[in-house]
Amino acid sequence: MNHSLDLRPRACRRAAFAALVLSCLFALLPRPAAAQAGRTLRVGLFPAAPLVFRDKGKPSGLFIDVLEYCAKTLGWKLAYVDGSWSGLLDSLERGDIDILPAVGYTKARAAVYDFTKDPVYIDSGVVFTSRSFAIHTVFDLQGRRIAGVRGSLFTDEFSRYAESFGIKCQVVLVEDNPAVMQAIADGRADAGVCIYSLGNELAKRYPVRITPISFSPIALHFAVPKGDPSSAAAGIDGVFKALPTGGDSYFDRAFRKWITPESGTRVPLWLWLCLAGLGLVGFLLLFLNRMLNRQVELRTQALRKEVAERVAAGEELRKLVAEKDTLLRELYHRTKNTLQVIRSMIMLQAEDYPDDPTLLDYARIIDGKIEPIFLVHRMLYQSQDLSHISSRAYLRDLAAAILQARTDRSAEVALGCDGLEEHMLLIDTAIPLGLVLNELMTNSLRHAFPGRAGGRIDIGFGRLDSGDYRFRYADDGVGVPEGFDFRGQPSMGLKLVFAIGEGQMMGKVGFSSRPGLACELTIPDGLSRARV
Amino acid sequence: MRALAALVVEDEAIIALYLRRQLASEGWEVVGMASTGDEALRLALELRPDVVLMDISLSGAMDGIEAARGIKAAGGPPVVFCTSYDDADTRARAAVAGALAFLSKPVDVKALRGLVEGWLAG
Repeated sequence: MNHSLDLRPRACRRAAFAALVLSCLFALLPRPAAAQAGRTLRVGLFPAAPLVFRDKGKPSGLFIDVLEYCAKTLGWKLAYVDGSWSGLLDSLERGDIDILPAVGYTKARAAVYDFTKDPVYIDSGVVFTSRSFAIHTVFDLQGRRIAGVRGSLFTDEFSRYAESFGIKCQVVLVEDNPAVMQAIADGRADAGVCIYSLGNELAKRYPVRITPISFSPIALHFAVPKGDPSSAAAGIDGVFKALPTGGDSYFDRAFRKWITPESGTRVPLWLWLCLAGLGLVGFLLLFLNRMLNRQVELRTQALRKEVAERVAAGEELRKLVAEKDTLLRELYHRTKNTLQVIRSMIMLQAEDYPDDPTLLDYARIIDGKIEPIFLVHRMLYQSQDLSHISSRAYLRDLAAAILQARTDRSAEVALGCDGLEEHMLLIDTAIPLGLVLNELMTNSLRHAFPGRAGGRIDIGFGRLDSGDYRFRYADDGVGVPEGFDFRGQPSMGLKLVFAIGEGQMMGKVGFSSRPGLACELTIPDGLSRARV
Repeated sequence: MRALAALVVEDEAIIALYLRRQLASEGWEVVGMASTGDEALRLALELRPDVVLMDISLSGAMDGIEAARGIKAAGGPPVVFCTSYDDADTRARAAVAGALAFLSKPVDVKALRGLVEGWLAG
């Protein structure tokens, strides 16, 4: 124990001395630069989206996000050095840059570079080809020109992979991955090899498609110059080690952002079904709307056509009505003229026998019977609707004409028309009514006023409460004897009054005599209907 | 009282003849008969009657209204239209022609006398 005690102070002193020497030596050694906060590290940057690339001039991608996080944690500043893949590998080997992202780990490379302990991403090589080229298996590549990046691990790995199947290809070397796609697009290569993640991005911008040929899964790390002189790999490993476990570390978020962006926005199946249903309903509504619009358009066209046809038909109808009016008016005029010619012929013929007063009298009687017909046609010719004439004007003018035409002017006969109401008569009512008036007036003018200096005739026409019409006639002449049989008289005049009034007009004729002679003719309403 | 002189212008011969007889029986002197507008214009200016009894519808290119205008323009005798075209339109056209009167057929000869005598007196 004492020996032990004796020995212990000595041993302690030696150990302390050794520690002091080592401490001095350690202090004299240069300290790793990366360990110093504020140190700027040079980082190689090349186009390999989504792992490493520039997005609108800004360094971006999975490896860059992870590296920026590490730099922030460790207090580094990063300076990016753009270059081609093969050129940057050379720069890394020479120590011209401190870090190169997304470098596949192989034993051969491990002899030249150092790598971070943990890979950031596992990727593999894939063959891409033009959209018009049919490549399904590696055997389809026999004798083909295959583009690959100079110095790329995948270019070498693909050659070995193809040779293992006995496939001989002509490798076309280009400087970077976009150049691989461009070579396919230009036809300088039949296919090209590219890392899967990067090729998938590039396939969106070039006319290429991915093939099922996949090879050489490989872990991608940050690579540093051999010996890790800046301790960059060690620093990154330290940050990785300190990352929290679970699914929401900075690394996980970067991975979701660049590699599986859709994973955070997964749409549930029911929502997809609802959206599909809504889409279908929308499509059906659009289809229905289009169909309805088409139907409306067709119907509108049909209606326009129908309206145009009706307008044309209306115009034609108006023209025809106007023509009918003109023709009818001309017909009335010609009938009136013809009647006038007939009357003139009768009177001229009668005047050839001046010594036969009976003949002249007959001529005047016939002329008087034509007068109502003549007058009706004259008034119809002047009327607006060519169907109706005024009862007041017609009966007044007719009575005046009969008075004017009489030959025996020994008595001054006054005509009273106050009882004439204004009603519109149709031709089928006016003519027979005029004939009745003519017979009654002719009778009065011949027999009512013998030996008298004057007399009076009153006529009236009006409507009864029943709707029937009543024509009234009266003279203040000598009248007829008591018990005079009006219906039994042989004279044509009274026979005509009864025949026309009751037989033709379906009315009722009544005579009375006290004083003078009076006659009433009741005509049923609606006796005749308009013909034109 | 002298007999009034009339020129009868009528293209319907029977009606013209009957009117002539009516006028004669009432003491008129019918100095001429015409059936066209041209003839009416010529006879009116040549015969210078007291009145021209003018039908409106006449044979030939010139109707009674145009003939009446010609007579008036040439300083001829007054014109009385005697027509069966007694609608409003025809009356309006005739009024522009400066006629003395517009009578519907058959003509009331007694009324015609009063009309012409009044015009001559005035």
